[in-house]
Amino acid sequence: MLLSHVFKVWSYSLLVKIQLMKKLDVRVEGGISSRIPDTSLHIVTLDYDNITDERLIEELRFLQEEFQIGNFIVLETRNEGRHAVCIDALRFKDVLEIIRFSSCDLMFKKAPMINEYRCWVLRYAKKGNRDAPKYLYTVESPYEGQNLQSRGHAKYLLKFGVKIDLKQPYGPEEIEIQEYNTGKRTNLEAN
Amino acid sequence: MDWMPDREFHPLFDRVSRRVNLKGAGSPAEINKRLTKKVKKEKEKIAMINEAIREGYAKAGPLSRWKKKIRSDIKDTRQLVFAGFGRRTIDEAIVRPRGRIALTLKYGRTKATDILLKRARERLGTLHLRRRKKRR
Repeated sequence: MLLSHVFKVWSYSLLVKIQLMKKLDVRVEGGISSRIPDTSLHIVTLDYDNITDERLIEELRFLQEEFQIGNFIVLETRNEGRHAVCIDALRFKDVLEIIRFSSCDLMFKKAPMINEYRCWVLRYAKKGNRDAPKYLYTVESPYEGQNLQSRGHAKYLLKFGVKIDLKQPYGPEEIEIQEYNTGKRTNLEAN
Repeated sequence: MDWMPDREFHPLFDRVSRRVNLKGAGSPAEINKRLTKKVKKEKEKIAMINEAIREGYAKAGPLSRWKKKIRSDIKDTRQLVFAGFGRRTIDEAIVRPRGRIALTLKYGRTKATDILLKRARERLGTLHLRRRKKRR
């Protein structure tokens, strides 16, 4: 909740803002960063809430055609929540364009502007009562291997049992992870 | 949340970032193990250091007495850390035990300057160290 008021003092305007926010009680123990360590390149990560698989596959195929990017790995976060990961190493502005072009979660689109580490984060650990994401399927692309591919993120996807044959491996076999707080809403939804 | 400036999110979300090396991890179990390995947060580390400093004060009693005591003996650099001296000061005192900082810690500013001047006179001769008279 935000309250704001402007007071006029002689020729000056004094803007007073009072803001109330609920405490973020749930600690997410792990989320993967989109950034490739030691570089300014990012992989494409998309976070969808309430979307059907048919619609998602159509969109991902369209994105692959439009931006000529590789395979998307789709993970299930809850009933109709999905994460999509493409390990192509792209410039920040390209990734931003792809994410803005997509119909993913609106807050996710703004994530690097809010996050002090300037990256998108997808969780891999439990969140409140929600389980860790699970692998669902791969949306294959004719442009697979056309761009550089992050070595570290490919290795990370082994966690879900997804083995990727890299055609243009790039970067170290390292990834950046983040821990962060999130709201209690997730607890209520799961119950 | 458009109306909220970025920096106000930081303490709310309390994000901690770290790097994980996945080299040599060939199985999902091994990757899981590396990803879930807990590393102490920066904030926890800072809290631990602060606690150590506080304990040091508690042992020593009043701060002034503590600092005076340290001046008399700077061999134990741990005491300097507890007394809240800067890291660079301590390093300098260790690297140059006969230098300005080490002497200042031990004897105080005035006496340290005297010692340094005396040493310089011995080295260069008195005349060189006399201040020149101002020309009118």
